[in-house]
Amino acid sequence: MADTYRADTILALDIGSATTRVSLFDVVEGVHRFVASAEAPSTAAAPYLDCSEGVHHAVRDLETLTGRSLMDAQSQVIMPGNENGNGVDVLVGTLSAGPAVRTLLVGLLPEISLENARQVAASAYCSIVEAFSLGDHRRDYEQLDAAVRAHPNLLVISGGTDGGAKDALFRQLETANIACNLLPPGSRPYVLYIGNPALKAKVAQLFGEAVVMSSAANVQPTLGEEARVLAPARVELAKVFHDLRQSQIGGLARLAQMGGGYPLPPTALAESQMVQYLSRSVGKSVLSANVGASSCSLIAAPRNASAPYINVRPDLGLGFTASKAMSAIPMGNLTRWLPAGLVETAGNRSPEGAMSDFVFNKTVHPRSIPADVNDLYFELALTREILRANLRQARPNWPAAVRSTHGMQTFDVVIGGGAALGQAPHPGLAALALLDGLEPCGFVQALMVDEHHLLAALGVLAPINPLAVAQVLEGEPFPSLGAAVCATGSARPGEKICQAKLTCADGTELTAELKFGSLEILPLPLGQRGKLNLRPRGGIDVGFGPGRGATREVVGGTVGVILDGRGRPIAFSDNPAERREAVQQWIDRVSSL
Amino acid sequence: MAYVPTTTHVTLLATLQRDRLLPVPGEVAVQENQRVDATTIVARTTLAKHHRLVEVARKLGVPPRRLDAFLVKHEGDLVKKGEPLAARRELLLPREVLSPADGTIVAIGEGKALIAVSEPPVEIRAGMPATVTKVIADYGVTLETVGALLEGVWGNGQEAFGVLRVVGSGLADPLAPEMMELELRGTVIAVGTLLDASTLGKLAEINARGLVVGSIYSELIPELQKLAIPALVVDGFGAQGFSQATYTLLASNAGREAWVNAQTWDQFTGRRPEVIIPLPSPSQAPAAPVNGEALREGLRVRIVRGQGAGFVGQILALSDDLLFATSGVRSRLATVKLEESADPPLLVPFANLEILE
Repeated sequence: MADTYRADTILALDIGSATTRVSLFDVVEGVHRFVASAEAPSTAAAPYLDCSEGVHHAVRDLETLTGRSLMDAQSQVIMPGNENGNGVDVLVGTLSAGPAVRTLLVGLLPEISLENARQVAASAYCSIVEAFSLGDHRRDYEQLDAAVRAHPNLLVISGGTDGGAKDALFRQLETANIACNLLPPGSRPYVLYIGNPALKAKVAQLFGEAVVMSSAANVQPTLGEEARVLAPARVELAKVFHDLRQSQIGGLARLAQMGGGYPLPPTALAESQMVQYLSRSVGKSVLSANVGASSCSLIAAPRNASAPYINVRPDLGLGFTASKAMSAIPMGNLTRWLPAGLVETAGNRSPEGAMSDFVFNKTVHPRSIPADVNDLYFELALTREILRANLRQARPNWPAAVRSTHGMQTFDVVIGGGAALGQAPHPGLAALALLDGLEPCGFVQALMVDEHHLLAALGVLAPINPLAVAQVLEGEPFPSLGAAVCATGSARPGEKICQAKLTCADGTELTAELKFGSLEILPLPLGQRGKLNLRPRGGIDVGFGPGRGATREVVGGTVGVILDGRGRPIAFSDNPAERREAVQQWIDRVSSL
Repeated sequence: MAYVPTTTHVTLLATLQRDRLLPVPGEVAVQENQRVDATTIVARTTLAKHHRLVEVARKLGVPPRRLDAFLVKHEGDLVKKGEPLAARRELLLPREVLSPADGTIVAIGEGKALIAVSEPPVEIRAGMPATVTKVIADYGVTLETVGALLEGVWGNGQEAFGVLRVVGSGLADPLAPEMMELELRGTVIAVGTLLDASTLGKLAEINARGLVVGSIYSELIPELQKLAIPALVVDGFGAQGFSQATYTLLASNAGREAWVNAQTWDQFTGRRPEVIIPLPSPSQAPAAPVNGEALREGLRVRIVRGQGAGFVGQILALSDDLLFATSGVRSRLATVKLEESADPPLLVPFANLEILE
């Protein structure tokens, strides 16, 4: 009998800037399940500059956890798996390690072609260092100097519909080409062309042998936002990203080879594929937020959207780039999340001073974790504001379907990832950070945490083995924190704004009276179902229109059903003592159960 | 499980190699095995920051393909501002296209000339007395010396070489105006903490060559970035000052010359702000610093966060299982006995330790 294709045991790697994670999936009682994950400090940066060592440490840890042999004595992953349960059949990987990809965008109209190029670049940890367009009124030599100064790693060219403008785009490219030629050979940018296909050959001829050029289908073949096609360009960019990283980080080629020769895509792109998959499979709008050590990704998949909205900020991380994040976040925004229970800091340092020192210490020690309660409050405050800073940039691009009449966002499912959320000491703290950072409105059916960093793993696995992904999802690998009801509208602090009654499956009834400015929890254990009846006061919207109530089925989580009466945007007292007391009450309410 | 944290070097004696490289190709000015001083120029280049693109053919009124016949200057030529780049000597309508700036013609094509505007040369100096062990063609050199190495966490991007002086009497003594005595003129000043900006003006008055500080209040960073001398933070941000290990290294080398390279810490390439104090070489060359070790019992470590931050100790034990840290976060913990302390050992998350080498 001929060998049959086996894909039972799957090892997924994710190489981050700070941490390398490995996850094992296997067939348990006939279906694929997530088995275990492990992690180790990444070795993609100096002194190693080779990701293999970090992978080796993480896999060895996974071996200890599972009692299986996954690597041989030469540190090679054993492939395929054998009948003793050792080794793996499939290896997949994703990558977010490495410095931000310095990117020069070239396009025609800033609001169309540059925005399209930005949307594509956002999936691959790109930092936009320069942009040329028809809206740029600098002289050509000023553009040239700016491009040379920016020293890009990547040039993304977008513009022109199929059969549309050619000459105007080509003129923009002449300056970009001169800039490329002024950079030393060996450090010239990769070029990705995603514009009018009629110009592709001429562009290739213009840049010649000086750069490595790739291309994908035109992102804007015809006019109109609905005509935008981002997926092929993002897939092509993932290959360019892998090539660029291969020139910076050792060990990637070997990992890709073990994985069947597929390049390791950017983690955010793989996550976006999974978020889109989840959205389509359950017909709901999904928002995923991941705060990593170097970057923050926000991925929105509105119901029936043709492609997910990806916004990756490589300048907004909780570790390596924490001090850069400070330039996007006013200090007052950070300290407003510090509760009354903050322990007095050494030398009677002001909260602002202590917060600032925390951020800079976190930047120089990006892998460090909260050592005490103060530290935890500082870290979660930074997490919230990183999410909010990303949201401010991402939200204007989202369609009306996920933007409420208040200009805020409404999603059915919200998933949080990254160490600060995934490893929060209490699930209530993760839930609160998500609510504070993302400010969803109305009725959120599930707040979840990607505790084991599986979104990316499943996203990269989906095209290879969709059945395994579907089966793993049936096992509910993302722990639910619970449903959340987020009221909007105005009232005086302490005023009653909504009555809630939760009827559990066993007939138990729980009630709560939500007051403006406060949070309430209705306990509903993980996986249990109940019916939630909401009766808001006039002018208060809990997801069904101002003053309109409804009864909805809810599924319990590790926190319960969260009733958030703090308004949108969340209202803070101007009095610092009152504000700190209110924040303390919110923390106590979600974490005391 | 092997856990590989950052290694920070507070090394009393080691063989040290450092690359001194140009950002773009240029000329290497020294040879292999040559001894160099701190001020020796090892490589130089011109780095064009500004360019001018001149539409020569259009201004001359000729088709681009015929431009060659009218060029007065060619690729690689130096030009002065106002000098003709091309000329069309016709009786009725003579025309000239002039250079808009002093510079070099780097390219001519498509009817245009690209001129790189002249800039002062970029020169890379050795930074410290050393021997050239390798010439990296067109870019620079690798230098080698024997000395003490102190790695820091933050630098303001400047560098200097000068005599090291330690001021204050304790690990966390703040820099104060009364410390700035005239005998410190022209020296590199090491001090426990910097907690306000009022003393920074005094550094310029006494012509200090550099500042090495245990810890600073982070809001002073913008002030330190304005300084024309190197400012290097060794241990972190806050009022904790030097760890005992760093203070001992600095105090034992007071009076010696030190290279303060306050480059920014690039965690990807591993370039860190550092102080190198060249020392006489013993008969047998000391080992190079070690990097990339895993945590193990007996190792000397520094705590980087939370209770005991900045303190140095020795690992007594490492947990195999995830345990709760004081913050409630689950992590593997190390039992660390602090040096020169009678206190009981601390339980510290692996992630909050760095190896001190």
